[in-house]
Amino acid sequence: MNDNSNYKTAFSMLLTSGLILLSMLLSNDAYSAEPIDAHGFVVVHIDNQASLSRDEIRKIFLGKQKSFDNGLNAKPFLLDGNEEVIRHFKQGVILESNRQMKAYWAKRVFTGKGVSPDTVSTDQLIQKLNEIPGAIGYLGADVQLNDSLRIVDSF
Amino acid sequence: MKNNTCKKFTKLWFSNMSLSKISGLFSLFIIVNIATAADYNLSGFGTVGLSCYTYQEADYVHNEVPDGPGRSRDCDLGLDSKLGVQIDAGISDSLKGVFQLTSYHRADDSYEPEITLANLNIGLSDFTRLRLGRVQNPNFLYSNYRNVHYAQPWARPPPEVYGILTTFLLDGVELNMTDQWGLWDTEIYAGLAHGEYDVPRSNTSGTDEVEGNVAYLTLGMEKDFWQLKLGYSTGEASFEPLASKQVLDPLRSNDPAFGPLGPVFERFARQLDIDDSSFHIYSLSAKYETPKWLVVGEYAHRTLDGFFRDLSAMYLTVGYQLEKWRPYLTYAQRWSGDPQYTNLVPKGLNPDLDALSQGVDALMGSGNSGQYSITLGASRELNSNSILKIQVERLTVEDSSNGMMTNSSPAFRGGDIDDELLFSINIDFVF
Repeated sequence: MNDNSNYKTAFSMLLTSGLILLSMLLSNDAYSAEPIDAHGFVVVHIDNQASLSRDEIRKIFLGKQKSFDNGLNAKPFLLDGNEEVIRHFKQGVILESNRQMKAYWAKRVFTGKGVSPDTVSTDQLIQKLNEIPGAIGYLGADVQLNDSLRIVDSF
Repeated sequence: MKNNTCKKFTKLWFSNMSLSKISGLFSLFIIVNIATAADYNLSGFGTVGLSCYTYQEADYVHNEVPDGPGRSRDCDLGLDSKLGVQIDAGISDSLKGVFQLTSYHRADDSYEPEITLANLNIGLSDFTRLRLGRVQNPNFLYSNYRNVHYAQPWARPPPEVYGILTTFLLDGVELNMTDQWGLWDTEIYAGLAHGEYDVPRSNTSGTDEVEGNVAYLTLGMEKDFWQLKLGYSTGEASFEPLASKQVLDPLRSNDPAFGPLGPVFERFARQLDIDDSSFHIYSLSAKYETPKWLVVGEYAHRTLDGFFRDLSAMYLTVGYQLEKWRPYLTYAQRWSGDPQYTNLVPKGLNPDLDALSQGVDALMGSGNSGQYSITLGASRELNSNSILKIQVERLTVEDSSNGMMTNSSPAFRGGDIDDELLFSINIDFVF
């Protein structure tokens, strides 16, 4: 095999991928975080008055942030059932597809760095949010929210 | 340390201490957890895979699999198939334990489960954790979860690159620190550990052992869709496969028939042998992944003092999500450096020396594993816990290289492998 031709091939692949990458960066590929109509809301216990940025919410659901700025231990819950809401939450807030998030948590679990958040139904999630001061979850925009819950973000 | 008696004692002591440390730590956290009624979580992962290879003169293998599709059989279920189970136990936010067993086709041709994780995870602060026990080397993007193919883009990590980091099960201590540098989330791993594993012998049963002590450092950085990683490992390794012993023992013998060349051959044997030989592994990784696009590439370089050659390798994968499917294309290449030493055994003096010289040439040539591959594949989520992957890999081996295959026939010629295809269909799952 000719080493020079291999290096040229490798260089060509790198150059081609670089051009592809540049075109991706110049195009609006990132999922928009500012929907016109909200698909759902990120919700916490009413007594949890911590301020939360979108990035902090993302880190809590990825296990990278363990507590709120008020010291409360964060306990995130994933929603089961409403695929449309789940998809918009993961792509709009977590910035990952369902597949990416599954792979992310598989990586964290099987490198011994933690367990993924529990997945619960809408009713179970509302119950958890009422009972656990540090609970955080997301609900569809069509869900009736009572005064015991506080909205910290929409998506 | 070159003294054989001292080395054997140290090796025996260290290996037993490693095993006793792992079992001791596990026993400790089990006892503590029972006493404190800790939470447990049981999970697992696996792959069911079938691979078929068009080349008939050698087997396609990766990791320490002893045989595979090719010469041994046209199609093989053992190349990628595996099952892992894991138990996580937590006492508090600052003390957790993990124990993972994985069954796969091992160097001794068994599927005996191996401990692939077993450590206590101690939180020193919100951003710093200490792990004691068995971990997996984190230098490459996917190396510390090498067996969890569900979380990887392909049927298997490109062996050209991942074959450089063969000792990935490590027993020791690891510090893990997370921080924020500007807009980048950073993660540093620093570890001191001992590793040992068996390598299958080609064309025969039996295994040879590799062992070593390693210090490693990894810097990972993440921002938005980007992930970068820099890795470095260094240490000392020992490896004397039967094939090298058959060449090095005569060289070391200082046979009177060698005359004045005896001491020269003895020194030459010490240069060639891999006995507490120093090694360095450098790696650079980058990944850009959005819900639509995946672009990931890694480069690694290894030096190892002895009859092995320096190795460099890289791969680049581009994938795009098309509805339910994600097709991907990977180019991977490995290239070997020149032999580190010149053959000091002369030819043309007598038949015995000629044979010994040819043996040395073959030994130094065995370190040439240059090859490149182009892989076209596609993956699809079957449900929330499983992914189907189908890929075809075209492998080309350099003329003077053995590639990364094993169990080669007398008709094997590296340069003949130019358009041979490896077909793989795997289902990866987690539970």
